Amino acid sequence: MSGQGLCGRGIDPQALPRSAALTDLLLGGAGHGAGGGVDREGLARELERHLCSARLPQRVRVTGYLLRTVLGPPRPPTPWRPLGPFRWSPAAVRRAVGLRGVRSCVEAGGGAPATAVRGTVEELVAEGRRGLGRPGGLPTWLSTLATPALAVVEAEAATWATQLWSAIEWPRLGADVQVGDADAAWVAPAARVRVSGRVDVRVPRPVGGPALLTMLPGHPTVVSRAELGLAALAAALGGRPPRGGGGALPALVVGWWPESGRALALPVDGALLEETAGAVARVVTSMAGTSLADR
Amino acid sequence: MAGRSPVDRGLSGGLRAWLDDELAEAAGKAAGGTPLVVDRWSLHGTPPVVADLGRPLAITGAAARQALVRVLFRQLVVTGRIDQPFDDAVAGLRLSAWGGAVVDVVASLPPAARATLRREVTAAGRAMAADLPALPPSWLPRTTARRSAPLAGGAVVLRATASLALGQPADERASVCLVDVRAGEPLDEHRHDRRYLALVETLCAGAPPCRVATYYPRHGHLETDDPTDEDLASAVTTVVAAVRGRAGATGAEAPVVVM
Repeated sequence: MSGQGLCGRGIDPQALPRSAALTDLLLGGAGHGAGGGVDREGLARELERHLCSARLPQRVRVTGYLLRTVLGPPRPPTPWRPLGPFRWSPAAVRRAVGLRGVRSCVEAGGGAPATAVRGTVEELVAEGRRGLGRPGGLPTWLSTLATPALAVVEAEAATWATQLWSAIEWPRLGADVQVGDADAAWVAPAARVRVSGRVDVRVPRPVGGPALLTMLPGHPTVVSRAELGLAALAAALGGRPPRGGGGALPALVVGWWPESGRALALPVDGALLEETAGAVARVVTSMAGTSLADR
Repeated sequence: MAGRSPVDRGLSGGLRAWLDDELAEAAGKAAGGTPLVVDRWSLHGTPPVVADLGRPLAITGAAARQALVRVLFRQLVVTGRIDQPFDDAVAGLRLSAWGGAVVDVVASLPPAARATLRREVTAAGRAMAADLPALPPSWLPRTTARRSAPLAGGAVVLRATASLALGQPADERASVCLVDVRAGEPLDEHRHDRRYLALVETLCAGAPPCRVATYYPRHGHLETDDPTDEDLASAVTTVVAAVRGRAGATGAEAPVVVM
């Protein structure tokens, strides 16, 4: 479970501080960039053809969460609500708010994530109260919450932001590091499928393409390779480039699981792209005809 | 900082290897590939909240009180204030994962029981507000700090949640402090809980916490341990016994303990 079983590089369990080891992982390792020479147009055509054959009745957004749910190891029963229409919740908000908080700290060259998150929540609430947010959007929702409920949101986001902030030696990443706004997506309209890969931090590197870091809950599982590969796949298949992130394809995708202290770095090569495309196809096929579509 | 223990870099790996060895056989008995999840309540065998897929939650009054007090504690850490303790706690809990079910139970309580609960939660909220100083953001406070340590190839997962974690991740010296908030009375088993928290933190962070505390707002009392190697070894023994018991007795059908 330290990463070797998942065909990637992890961090030495004895390495302390972990932030130095994770930063080494982001900056080191060659990676292939540009998909390791894979025929990306051919891969896109093949994947789209396969997805179309599933004949989904509704649109599907393939995310890391969906991969974990459908392809991951069986999980102990939990009374979580089944997949349903999106609803705002502290868990749904923590990443969005937490990323803004960490970005503030990075831009300021320091600071405390909890303070930055407090400022972010206050800004969003003010936006919502001024009617600047779209109906149903995050600022609008936050502006409806009373203080105790806002405290839960802030607590979730502050914990999330602190985990990310303390995971990395930020000064080593340089001034061009991008926090948030780096998610990648590729859409296959005919198949009614959108592939979305989360990227929390995009790290330009002196040689080769950038490294993409994603922070994930729990611990690595057998599906983590494909989950990390989603952003690389979406970028490689010609999805929209990250905002302000230039057009370079990632050379490396790195997962960080703060709850378990594990990391996994995968070079973006043909094997990863093809494996991830296969996982996407399996998920979509398994969802055809189920009520999971359009969730 | 000077009083904090230097980190033994081999300790975490040694504990993991020990657990992997001891749990391999028991983990093999768990059916269906479903990971056997261990948390502090399963160590005691009497979880306050038991969830089983497709069945309603069974939530005790004590569990409801615990959940309400913890969400209040979280609010206090984040905002530095509590206005109407019981109402604040219910409002906060309604938005939390799992919280809706607890709020429903609270709402369905007979008036006398609800009044008692309100009184207890209010007293706890007032006590916490008096006891807890404002925490500097530079201490990196993390509320509801979760840990998850997969063992035996992922067949067993140790989970733990601290009400509050403070301090930078460890470097040369142990630097993280964990706090567990308990709404009820101090019990002997809470010492085992602290050791378990310390063990899971050590497995995940690569270094033990410098201090683990249980805070009892009802009494304004704090029990603290600076975990030793013996404490961690004791926690390993407890975990192994619990996993062997659960794997042998109930396998994958065992209820899953939550909260």
